[in-house]
Amino acid sequence: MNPQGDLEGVVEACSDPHWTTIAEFVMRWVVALGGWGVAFFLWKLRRDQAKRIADHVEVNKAIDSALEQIEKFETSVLEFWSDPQSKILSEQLASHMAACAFYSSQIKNLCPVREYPSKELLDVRRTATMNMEQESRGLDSQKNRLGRFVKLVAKLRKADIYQKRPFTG
Amino acid sequence: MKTIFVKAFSEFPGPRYRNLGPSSGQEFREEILIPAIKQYGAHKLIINLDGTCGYGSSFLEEAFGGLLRDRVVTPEEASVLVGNLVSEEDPSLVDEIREYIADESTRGS
Repeated sequence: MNPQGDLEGVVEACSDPHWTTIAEFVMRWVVALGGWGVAFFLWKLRRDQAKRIADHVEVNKAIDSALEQIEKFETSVLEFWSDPQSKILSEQLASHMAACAFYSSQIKNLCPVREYPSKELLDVRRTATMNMEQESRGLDSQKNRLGRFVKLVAKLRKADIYQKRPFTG
Repeated sequence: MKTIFVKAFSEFPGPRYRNLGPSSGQEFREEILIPAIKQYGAHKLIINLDGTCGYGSSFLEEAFGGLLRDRVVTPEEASVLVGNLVSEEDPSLVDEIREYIADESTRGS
């Protein structure tokens, strides 16, 4: 046994140009692949964040459209019921209401965690359109309905689905 | 299962009664719903509410609540019918019809 002789053999084997070339080759690939991996990870991170920002912007746009539609609907309903001479047609009220539901569905589609305001929408529709073709119109005869309607629209606007939230990344 | 599309009846569902205008809830009930219920049975009907330009509540109340008032269906059959309503565009329509059916069932009992 000659420990010193064995050690020299190992050192010799490791310093063999063949092995260092292979080790260098492997290291280069590891570094290159690692670099690609990091680059891909960062690209994916950035892409996901860009998508989240775009979704957030879309949701806010849909909320704006929905609130605008609710406002138009409110104006039409108030005029329809308070003014017997109003040129607003009952069909317009039904159509405006459908548009409110459409924009609310858009928000729900973009952001499924938000709850569709079904109860609020049906209460508003019922108050605005029930017997709209047959009941007499005018402030005196429809005062209760108008008061109830204004309150229900305010409640609808406060529904969670129409609330804008800050972007959290 | 037989599917009834309200839009095939009218894209513009109208008022409550026939004498108030075209495509009324009464007309829909009498011309479409009742014959279909008699032919297929309430449990084999799917009613699709999508594709119209909007509903007034009177139309919905008269078309569906009227089924119970006219004793065309029992409260149980009406519940099954409501369970088979489809409204992808506005789920609140189904909830509203469910309330009219419940109100009419309570009134009738």
